[in-house]
Amino acid sequence: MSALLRAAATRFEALEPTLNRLDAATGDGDHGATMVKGLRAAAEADQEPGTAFRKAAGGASGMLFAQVIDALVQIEGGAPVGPSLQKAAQRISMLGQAKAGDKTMLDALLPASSCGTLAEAAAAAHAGCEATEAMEAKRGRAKYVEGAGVGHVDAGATSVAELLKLFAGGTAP
Amino acid sequence: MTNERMTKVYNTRETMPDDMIAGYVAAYPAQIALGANPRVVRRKTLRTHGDKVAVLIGNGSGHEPIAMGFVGEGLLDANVVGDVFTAPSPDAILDGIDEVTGPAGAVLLISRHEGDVINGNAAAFMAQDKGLDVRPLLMYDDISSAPKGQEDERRGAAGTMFIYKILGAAAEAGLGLDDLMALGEAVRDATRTLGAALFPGTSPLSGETMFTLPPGEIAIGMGVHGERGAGHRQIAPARELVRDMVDALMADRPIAAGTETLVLINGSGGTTMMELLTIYGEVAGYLEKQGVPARSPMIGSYSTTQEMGGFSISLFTPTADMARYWRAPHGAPLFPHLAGMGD
Repeated sequence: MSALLRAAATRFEALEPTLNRLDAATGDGDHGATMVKGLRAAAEADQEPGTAFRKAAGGASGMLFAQVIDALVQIEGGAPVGPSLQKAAQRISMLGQAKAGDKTMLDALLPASSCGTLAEAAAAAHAGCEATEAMEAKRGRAKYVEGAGVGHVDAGATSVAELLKLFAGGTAP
Repeated sequence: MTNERMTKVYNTRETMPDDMIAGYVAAYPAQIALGANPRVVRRKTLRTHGDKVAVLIGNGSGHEPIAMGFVGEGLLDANVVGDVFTAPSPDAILDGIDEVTGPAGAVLLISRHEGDVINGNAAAFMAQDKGLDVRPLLMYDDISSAPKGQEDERRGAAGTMFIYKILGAAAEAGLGLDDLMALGEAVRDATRTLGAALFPGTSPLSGETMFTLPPGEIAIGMGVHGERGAGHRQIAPARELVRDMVDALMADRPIAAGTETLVLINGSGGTTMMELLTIYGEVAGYLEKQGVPARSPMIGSYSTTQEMGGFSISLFTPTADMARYWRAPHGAPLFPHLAGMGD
């Protein structure tokens, strides 16, 4: 497990400037840095990866992405893909008071949560992420931006898609 | 770009909040101490082991002196300091609650921003599960962030400082948890804020300026992280800007002639005292014309966004008790002393 999380930390180090830039279009430009901080801590694995992520990342992302990390760890341990992602999506929706179409990480996670395999989930999340480009933000700082972020894919949705792609690759034969 | 040295004074980007906290504690060792978690900045001498209710807040750093500078007797018992512009984790906020909460419980202030709300509420639940009587109080005052009628969707802005000070003084005076919560909600409901952004600051996170404005234009209602607000307008004489902003505040919450009003002029970090005093003069004069007496103002850069140029105007109509708590002496190193000033 920690091998995959370490790979995720490395992948997000490379993605950091891109994610920061996407976030800067609508927020304060720290999403990439937050993900790297959280994933590095999660990969250390001296505690539950989700808890480690939450503590190290802070912010809304810390709490919300910890749910995704928990789900991925459980799937890696043999839990069914759809229900695990569904549970994460429900919690994120409750915590962040967000729903489908609000231009958030949920727009990548919700389509993935009806899939049976990680590969399908990764593809669904990628398509869901692309669809956020045309959406108006309804939650988070993005909703305060003129144009509500239309024309930019959502940084959080991008991270969900990237995490699923990475974990799907890790389980490929 | 991310690795270039910014033209700011710091050691490393990662240690900016901790280096700042170290300086604060070194400067005020008689007033301030660190908790078991070194991101918990607390009053040196706590009274919350007795019957005093604790008042605390967690928030991202980069906006000082708010909120770390407001820790002290008669104000906050603790501030949990997050990374730059990043709410502390629920775990860190819980550490702050554990540090200062006694049998009388605690008010956990939450300025309404996504991460602060999620992590603050989560921390309050975790504390309640441990048997601590901790109540979250959501603070919001920025009229540009949601329309009238949807006040509880608005952001917390500089006007939240009325709540910090009044609850801090009231808790010191012995008010119980239920009364403090009701008092905090009443202060919130009597406060409105509108801000204007003139030029951006550089984010310590990205090393880049936080927004761009066309030449000669200013943004009305921008949030404390550079979030866009109500729209742009041409820069204009102070009198004209102030009148339009006060009109918007009074349209959102009318103030009857003869109602004592406390005015807060907050600078965003890069706007001079010369400008802030000019703004106050225009606000007080314009209110006076409408028969509204301005009293006990707070004027300065207290809730900042790095070196951003800009200001906000907050109007608050206190009850007599609220006004007394506002003016009460306190021991917080970086909050102004208002007793006997401006009345």
